[in-house]
Amino acid sequence: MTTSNVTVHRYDPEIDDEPTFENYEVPVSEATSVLDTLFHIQEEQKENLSFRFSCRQGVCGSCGMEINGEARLACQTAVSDLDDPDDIRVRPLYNLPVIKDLTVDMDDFFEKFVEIDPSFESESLDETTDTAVIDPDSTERQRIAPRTDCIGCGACFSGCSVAGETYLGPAAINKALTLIEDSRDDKTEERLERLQEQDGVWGCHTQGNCSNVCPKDIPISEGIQYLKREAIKHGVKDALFPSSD
Amino acid sequence: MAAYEERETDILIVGAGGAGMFAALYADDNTPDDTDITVVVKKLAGKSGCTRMVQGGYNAVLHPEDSIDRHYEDTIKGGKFLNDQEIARELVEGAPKIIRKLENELGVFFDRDEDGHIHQKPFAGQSFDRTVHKGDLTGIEIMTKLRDELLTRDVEFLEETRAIDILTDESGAGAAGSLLLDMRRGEFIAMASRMTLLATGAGATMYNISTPALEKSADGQAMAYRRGARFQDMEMMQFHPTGLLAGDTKLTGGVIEEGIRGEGAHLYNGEDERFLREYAPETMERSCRDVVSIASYKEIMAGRGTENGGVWLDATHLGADVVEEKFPGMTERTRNVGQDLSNTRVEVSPTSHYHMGGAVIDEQCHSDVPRLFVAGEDAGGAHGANRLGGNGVVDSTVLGKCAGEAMAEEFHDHEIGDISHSQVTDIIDRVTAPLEREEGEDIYELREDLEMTMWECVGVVREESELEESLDRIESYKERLERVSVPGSKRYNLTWNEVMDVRNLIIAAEMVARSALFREESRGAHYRNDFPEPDDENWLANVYVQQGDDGMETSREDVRFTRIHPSELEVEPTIPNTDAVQGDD
Ligand SMILES: Cc1cc2nc3c(=O)[nH]c(=O)nc-3n(C[C@H](O)[C@H](O)[C@H](O)COP(=O)(O)OP(=O)(O)OC[C@H]3O[C@@H](n4cnc5c(N)ncnc54)[C@H](O)[C@@H]3O)c2cc1C
Ligand code: SF4
Ligand code: FES
Repeated sequence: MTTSNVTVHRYDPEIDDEPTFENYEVPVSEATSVLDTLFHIQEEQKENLSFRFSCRQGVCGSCGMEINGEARLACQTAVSDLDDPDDIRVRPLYNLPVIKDLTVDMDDFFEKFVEIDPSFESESLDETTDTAVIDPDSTERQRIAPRTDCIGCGACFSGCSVAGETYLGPAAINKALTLIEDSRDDKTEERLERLQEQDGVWGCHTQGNCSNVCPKDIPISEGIQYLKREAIKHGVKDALFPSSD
Repeated sequence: MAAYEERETDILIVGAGGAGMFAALYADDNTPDDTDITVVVKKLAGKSGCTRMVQGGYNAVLHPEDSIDRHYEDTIKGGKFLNDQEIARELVEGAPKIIRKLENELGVFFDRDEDGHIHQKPFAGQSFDRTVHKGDLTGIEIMTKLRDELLTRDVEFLEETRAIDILTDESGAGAAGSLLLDMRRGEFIAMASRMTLLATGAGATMYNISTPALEKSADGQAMAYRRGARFQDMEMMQFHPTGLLAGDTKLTGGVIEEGIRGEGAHLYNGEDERFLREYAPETMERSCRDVVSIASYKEIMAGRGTENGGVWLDATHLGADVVEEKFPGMTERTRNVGQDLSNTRVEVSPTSHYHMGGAVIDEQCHSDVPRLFVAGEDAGGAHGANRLGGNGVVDSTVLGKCAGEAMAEEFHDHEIGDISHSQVTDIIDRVTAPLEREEGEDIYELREDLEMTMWECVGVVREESELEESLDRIESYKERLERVSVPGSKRYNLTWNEVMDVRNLIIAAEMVARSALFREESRGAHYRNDFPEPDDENWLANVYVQQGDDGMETSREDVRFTRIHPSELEVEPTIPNTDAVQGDD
């Protein structure tokens, strides 16, 4: 057991004028995760600290936060793996409003999902029909498969310099891609149209931060570039063959 | 005077795991547009609970050579004949429909065979390979798609809002809503409703080593109990044999899947003996889940465990490359906690996993309390004494659907009733009391004591004297709970929430301990050292608990064999002759 100095963002917007950073000395072993250090502050040091968690194994995507300057999952970040394990600094994700201390309001983040209409729709398939026969090695599936591992943690959103007010942001665009590529879904055109707007795929400045921080190694940035090309193709098609309505 | 907001909704759903989300989906599908459906969830919707954590998969009959009858028989055999046979039937019949709903209407894409059809893998206890999955992230896929779908529907979500208690109507008999706490703002909401569903996923976390999501604390079960609901087979708590021991980190209890033992990994006690020789010389580490759990637990409790109270799981003889290649996720998980499955032994222990027992329901998920529905792991009946891997998520989704449809059909028959102001203020006074106390008991210590008691006295192996002891201790925890003090304000106060959690866990723990004391035989997940054999003559019976005038009352009734009688099915040997342990979550 050694000890680490954990510096934590404390902020209750209802009573504090501005955030402060508090230091806590926390004992750590090889097995201790950053999430564990927060539990320690909470349970042993009797702080009323707010942070979010559920699965403690990288599945629910609840414990996203900025750890030593990088958006990560606290439960999947072993203190011993950090470049500087003695000094840990945690603050909430960027680009989302703080509820209290380390928790952010994810509504804005999921609102972007609503904009690309995440609801799957098929005219030919329903509860009574057989499921589609699809080659797992098809290009379609190869493109979709790695991108459905998203756990909605918001790390990419925090790492993105453009995310915020209107830009759809990396995770929602990634989701759109999985639906657009899915031959079973019928709303491809509508989704591409939304992505074509100024704050759709064109909002992306191709800095690649999203892919760098994604704990599930999703090739998000590459996917956005792919959709830019699709959007152009779609735009051209629209201009040449305008729909009748 | 306690302050609270008053609101109303037609259908109130508590919990947003598989059961809660499916109930919302089907309630919305089957009601007019102007119906108010509200889902309250302690954490984030679709991003909490155990359905999200499902790795292994989903049992459903899809193949022409498989049959509903076979799935049904497997389920009843697995349950050692304690299942409610009608609910079990509902489950297996509903499963293929849910798979089609998920794929065709929600866009889930399960793994495929080479020929492009849904792939189904073998799971322990099945007579046919019928487990549908998406890699080993099946739960994420199901919950993400459910969330995506519901985001676009007219269903209101109140996130980080916990239900505290069920409110009753004037007669005191039926559920008329629930008292909620908006945890972010620290404010109470008295939510009146016509129909209420509890789907909070039970409380296997009552043991110090456990697999489930951390927020689950038997809230639904305790809420239903306090309003008089009846419970069955609460002693049936399933343990997974190999939970990772990672010191006092919250990762402790996370599952190391059984495939590694199937591959040939060995188990050693603290004295370097392959102890399964003593318990199951023929099948050794490849024995069934309960056999391995019992053997490990006995070694640990006899003082022959590792220093940290576990046993060693050793896969090193398989070769680092093989382990790394075949079990990358598991290897990574052990590395995260400073161990390394590919080149060292790792410490494991049986870990509490799933609660087969729960509120008594019928096939539409009605509990014994009028207008109160229960679904998913909060409810009992479907799995009897033992749940098959892959049948848990079937239970939550199929019964969630049944509850959603039933609420949609019945809500018209009831008006939104008046909520009793005094009932609400009584509850608020009680739950806020710890915030008023300057000094008192520490809730985290209390929780730890409860968890240790459950582990030591109501664990994998049970005995009369220890069970009696556990009840004494639980009694003392109730008193300590009344003296707990909590620092800080009401806003987003995790410690305060912990107090409400422990209050519920204590009730569920007592139900487990009392039922375990009552059942004088060994069957399925329930093993009594003092009655080590199954006793079909006396115990083909369900154990019930319910609140009585003088506390908890226990009773029993013979199982109703409405479809199959035990004599009609071949009885399974205690230790099956399988070559390989199949995956099984
Ligand atoms: C690690 C792991 C792996 C598993 N793998 C498999 C598998 O491969 N196959 C299988 O069939 N089963 C598996 N299971 C079992 C399966 O996950 C459960 O059977 C099932 O998910 C339970 O669903 P549920 O809807 O009842 O509860 P959950 O999915 O757990 O959802 C409970 C919900 O209720 C909320 N809640 C709790 N208390 C309150 C409250 N007071 N107020 C409001 N909301 C509340 C929670 O936040 C959560 O949203 C696994 C379980 C675990 C832990
Ligand atoms: S894409 Fe990656 S970083 Fe972004 S929300 Fe999904 S898992 Fe998190
Ligand atoms: S707690 Fe679930 S991802 Fe960290």
